[in-house]
Amino acid sequence: MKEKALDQIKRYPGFFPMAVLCLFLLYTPLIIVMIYSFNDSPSITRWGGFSLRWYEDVFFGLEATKLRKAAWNSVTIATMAAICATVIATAAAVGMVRSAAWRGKTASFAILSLPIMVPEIVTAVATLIFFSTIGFKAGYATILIAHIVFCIPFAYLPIAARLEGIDSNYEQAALDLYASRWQAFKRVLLPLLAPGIISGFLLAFIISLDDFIITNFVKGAGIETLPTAIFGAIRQGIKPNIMAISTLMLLVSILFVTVSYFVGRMGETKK
Amino acid sequence: MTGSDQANVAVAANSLFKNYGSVEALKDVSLSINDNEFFTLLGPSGCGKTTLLRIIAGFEAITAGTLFLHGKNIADLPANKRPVNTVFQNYSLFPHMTVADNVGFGLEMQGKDKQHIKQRAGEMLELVQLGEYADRKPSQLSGGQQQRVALARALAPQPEVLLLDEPLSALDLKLRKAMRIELKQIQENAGITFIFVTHDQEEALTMSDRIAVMSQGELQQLGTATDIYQEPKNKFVADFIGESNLIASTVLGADNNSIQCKLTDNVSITTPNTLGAAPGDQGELCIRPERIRLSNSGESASLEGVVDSVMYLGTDTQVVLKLDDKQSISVRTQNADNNRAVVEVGQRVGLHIDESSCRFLAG
Repeated sequence: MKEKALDQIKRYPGFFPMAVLCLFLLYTPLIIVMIYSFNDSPSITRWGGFSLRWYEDVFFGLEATKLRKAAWNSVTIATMAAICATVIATAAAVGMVRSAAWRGKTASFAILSLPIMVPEIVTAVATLIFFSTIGFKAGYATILIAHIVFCIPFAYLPIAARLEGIDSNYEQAALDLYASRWQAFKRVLLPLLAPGIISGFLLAFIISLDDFIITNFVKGAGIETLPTAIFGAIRQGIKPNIMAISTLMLLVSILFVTVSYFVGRMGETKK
Repeated sequence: MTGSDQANVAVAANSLFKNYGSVEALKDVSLSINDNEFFTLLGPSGCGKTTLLRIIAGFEAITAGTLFLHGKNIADLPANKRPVNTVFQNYSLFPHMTVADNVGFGLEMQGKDKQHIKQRAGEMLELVQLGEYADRKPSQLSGGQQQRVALARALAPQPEVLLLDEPLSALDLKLRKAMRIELKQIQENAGITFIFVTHDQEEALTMSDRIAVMSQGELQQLGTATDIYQEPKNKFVADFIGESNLIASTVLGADNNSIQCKLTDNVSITTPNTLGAAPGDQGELCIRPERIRLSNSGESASLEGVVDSVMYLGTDTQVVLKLDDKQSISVRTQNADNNRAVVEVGQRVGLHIDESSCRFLAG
């Protein structure tokens, strides 16, 4: 028998059954939802043959107008929130990573990334109280503002990580070659930082797209995003069209996360 | 090199100080660098040579002092307004641009027209023999080629002064030696002042018109390669440049031209009095190992020692001897032919010191 190398995965006892258990618990419900979204029967548990009727229902059925409106809100809010959060996060990352040590730098970093750790329900309640205290009318604008704010740390992390890997000598070389600070940023730092920025943008977009808790608190009456619309629909009983719409959202998320991952790695292997 | 005529001074620094918090990186450094000069800042790491270079480039502000470039005060000019370019230690070529775009970057930022940029970038790449590589990315070039691109990029905007921050340190020995000659030729052809930072004394000695030796933020000595090697002003320079035997000594007698220094209890050495020593001064005697000759058999010598170790080094052999007062002294003999006198450990040998080459360093 060949001796197994110390770093082989088989040398870690229990890894395989544990991994199988975790993967099973994580992915079985998702896979079942995906499969049953193609179910011909209106039951959510009994298989009645393959059909695309629930997808048709999502796009053209009774609730289609409502869902389309909610989806439009979700996409526009996610796009704008991700753009704003990415711009702010890029500026923050350049300031934080490129500056020499200053009083409060560590504290600033903690404050920047803290929202990821704060329970979302706390942020949601606090944001709601804040908006009602200053007399801001709940609606599209409050959702957008709340989304911009909680997306910033998610956009910040990949941008800052990328920036830390870029030698500051590049910007100095640009300055040395008569570039203004803005030109040095635009012509040298920005192209090098682009994979991090795109990655941050996609992450922020996805986080905003499927946020439920905060949105539900600050949205007010009469406006829905896709997650709140799905939640509303489920309260009247689970229909298979929910499975179809969930499957669609899942695909969008997978697509974005995958793109984000590959863009983030761009250029790194070539170095 | 003409004298200190004001018109010929490229960079003039007066009483420069630089503090990082409580750390003094530069202490009262004053020097002037002439036009078309290959000027080297030499010293061990942490001596302040890179700080001085970065101050000239505009990446660091000075704490106190003045800095002039061709008579113009540049102390408060930002880096992008100084007609000075840098070749960085790790080259820092822009990885997302082609070689030609890298070389043309400075001209582009100066707002030169496209035709001019293309032509000049082409010329510069020809100068460094990389004409065919214009469309490659820097990552597709070897270390030595990247180094040349960095040089071409820095030279393209025709700076008044070119700064080089240990540009050869990342290359292997053979390439480094070839680049020394090439750098010197490029400097002479381009007619631009080069300020070169290195910790490698051999690099400094072979290329430089003048060398500034620095240590602990202070300028130790400024002079030609011959000056600093043959006339070291203090113990640091004597020790840092080349090898030297530094032997504790006292001045026994002195006049304007020469001094007598104690070597051992019975032997004294007469050396030129270049640094104004007076009788009774304590200090060290600097004797270069290659300026000591071992006696041939049958030859009498006033100084003798016992061989402690013999090391064969290819071009020469290093012999370490113990003098009668147990002081160690190192001798280098050129292996110029096969008939060199072979000495063995434990053997007693006579020594002949070229006294006029020795220097007494007070302190």
